[in-house]
Amino acid sequence: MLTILRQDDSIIAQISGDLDHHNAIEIRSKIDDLLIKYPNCDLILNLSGLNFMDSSGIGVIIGRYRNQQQRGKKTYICGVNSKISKLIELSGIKKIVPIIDNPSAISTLNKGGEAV
Amino acid sequence: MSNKIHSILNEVKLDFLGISQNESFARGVVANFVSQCDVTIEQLSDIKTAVSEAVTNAIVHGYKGTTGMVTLACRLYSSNDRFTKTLEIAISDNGIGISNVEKAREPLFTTQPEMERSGMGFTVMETFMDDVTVRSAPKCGCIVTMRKTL
Repeated sequence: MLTILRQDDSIIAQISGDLDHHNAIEIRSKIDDLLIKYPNCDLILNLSGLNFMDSSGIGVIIGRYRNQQQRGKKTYICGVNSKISKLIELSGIKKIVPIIDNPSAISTLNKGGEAV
Repeated sequence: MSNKIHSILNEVKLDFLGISQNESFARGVVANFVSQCDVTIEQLSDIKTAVSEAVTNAIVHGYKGTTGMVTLACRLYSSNDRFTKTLEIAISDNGIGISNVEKAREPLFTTQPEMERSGMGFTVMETFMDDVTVRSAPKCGCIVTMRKTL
């Protein structure tokens, strides 16, 4: 499942449930559509609600990072929980996509933000 | 493996259509099968992730552009010492096969970078399970067998 909010100059994509090859296709295209609409936004991928992720999820993160990089925009990951931390660590993804603990953007996520 | 296999405690075999909807189904079946053992949350997560990688490989690479059946076989063995159990999971397809298994197992190797395949599938299986063997040849499908001591 995917909830996307736009706050200031960031698109916050909250991915929950399972992120596997099956779900990756839809999640990827929904995030990309939004980032085409708002090309000046940074992207924050909030993974806190994930119960499961496999290497297809790593592909989704790297793919979004590359697209953002081409636009000169940044990508961040937050909410790495115990269910996905081993894979995140193994992938070495944090060398290219910074993991943020508690961004100010996330605290306002629960208060609302603008749904897009 | 330090402990030799003693005897089969349980066995399940399942054929399903190689479509992406069945990736979560396969993980669920294995999670249920393993629930008869005292596994930690981390072990369960490792096993589900490895299964997901192998099933996704069968669908994305084995049956690239086509659809065929995937077979999942789970076996639980008791070890000689009687204190540990060994889980064996075999995932097989009748797809195009792999011409160079050694190359396919290299970290970050992928034939489909444009599809955002990360090339990490075999690395994940090898890291999350104790032992992984891959048997394949062109046009002869592929069988991935993974073991983990529980």
